Amino acid sequence: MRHPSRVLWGLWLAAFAAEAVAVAVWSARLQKSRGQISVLTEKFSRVNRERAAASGQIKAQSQEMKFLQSLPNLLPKDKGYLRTQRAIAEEVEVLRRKLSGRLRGRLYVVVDAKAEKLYLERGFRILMQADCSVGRGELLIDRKTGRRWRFTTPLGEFHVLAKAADPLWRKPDWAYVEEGKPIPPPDSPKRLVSGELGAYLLSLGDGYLIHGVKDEKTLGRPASHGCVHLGAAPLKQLYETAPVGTPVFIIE
Amino acid sequence: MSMDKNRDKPELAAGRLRRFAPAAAALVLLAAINALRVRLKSSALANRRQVQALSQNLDDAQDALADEQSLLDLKKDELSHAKSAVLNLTRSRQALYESGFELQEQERILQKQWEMLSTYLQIDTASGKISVMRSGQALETYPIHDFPPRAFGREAAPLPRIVRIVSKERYAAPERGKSEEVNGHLEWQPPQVGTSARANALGEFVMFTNSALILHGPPKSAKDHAAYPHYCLGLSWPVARRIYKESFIGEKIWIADRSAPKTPAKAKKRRATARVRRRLRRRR
Repeated sequence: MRHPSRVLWGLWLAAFAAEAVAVAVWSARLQKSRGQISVLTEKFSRVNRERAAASGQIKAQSQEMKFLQSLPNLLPKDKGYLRTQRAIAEEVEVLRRKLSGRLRGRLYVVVDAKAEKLYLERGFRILMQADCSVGRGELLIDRKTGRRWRFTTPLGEFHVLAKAADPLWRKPDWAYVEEGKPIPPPDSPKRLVSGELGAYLLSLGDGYLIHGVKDEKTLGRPASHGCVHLGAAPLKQLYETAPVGTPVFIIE
Repeated sequence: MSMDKNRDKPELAAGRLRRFAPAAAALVLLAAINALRVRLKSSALANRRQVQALSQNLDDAQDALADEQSLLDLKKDELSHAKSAVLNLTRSRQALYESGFELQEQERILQKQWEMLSTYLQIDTASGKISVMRSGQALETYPIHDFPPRAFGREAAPLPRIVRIVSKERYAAPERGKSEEVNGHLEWQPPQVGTSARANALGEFVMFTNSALILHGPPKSAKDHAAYPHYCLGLSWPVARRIYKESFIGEKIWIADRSAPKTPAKAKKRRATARVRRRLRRRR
């Protein structure tokens, strides 16, 4: 009776062991496959994200390309503009020929009173250009005496008659009238003021000057009482370059 | 005997149960572990199939990503070229416009300088008229109100042939401006300092020349005008205003005495000068 049961128990053990091994193997395989699925899923998500980003960039670049193509043609198809340029260049050449007798090789200054610009030129070559400020054209009337002053810069051909560094300004009557202050006698030392005319001064005669200015923001618009105002740096260059006798053309 | 049999039946059943229970448990256990194995196997096989499918999808996705990145690189190159082309076009346009503006600026300055240098006034003593001239052509001609020139408080001077305008003043100021060096400093006195009265003498529009001659409009006070020592040509108010506006500092005033007979020598000289000028113009 015992022998058959032992055999049966032995068979059972064998079967159980086989099943247990199989369970272990399949369990391991299952774990492994789960790990693989997790890794693959993460990779797939990353690749999809990269694809989405690339698609977004492609779309943005296409839009940018479309915008660039929609910009107007930056060079005009109509060549008329170029013909006008050529015509102006020929006129400039004619004018240079006309003026060459007076200006070729010479150093001179041109003050454009309308554009508020000053040019230092040699021949027809511009050595320096700068913003300036000319007379503002106002009329000042002294109600007490009826005297009037109109602050304009005259047009014409002047010459540099004198130059000075650190000039003093003898304040005129109109300056006191403008400020509403009593006018001192003509020879009063109170009239002498320093620092008002800047570091340098070029006299054009008849009381008209090229000089510096306290507030350079006023340059580029008519703001003076008749003189030509210039910024500190261009004034220094002009002072150092233009000798006495240099022609100064004030045009409008 | 029958009573013993009846009493032994449950004990027999219990005994048989005790004998077969372990076997039954073992069978149940074996069945359970077998079922577990089967379940694990099917799950593992299903997962393997899923892994294969995912791998295939991943490969496809990676291929598509590679294609899209190639396309992106191409687009980047294309866009970079297009931007570079637009930048070059913009710079060319800017250079074209800037050179155009420079040319226009030059033309304006040269034109104004030419007008200034070629414009002069001409006084015809025979007709008593003053003309604004440019390059030998009369642009405007006006009568001179008071001609010939008159001297007040001084001797009359002979009219020079050519004078230049050196100063223009509107509402002629009492004093002229001056600059002088004092103790090493240049002092500038603008024209409006002082108290001497010449404001009423010369009127609103005054042009001083480099001679004794002054051109001016009607004086504010005839009495002050007569009392102020000067030598002048009187103009009417509209003519003075016009001449004042059209003239420049440095402008020449030619005083042509057409009434005087021209000497042959002068005429010869004039003709010779005109010939030389024509030759020079042709050479240019």
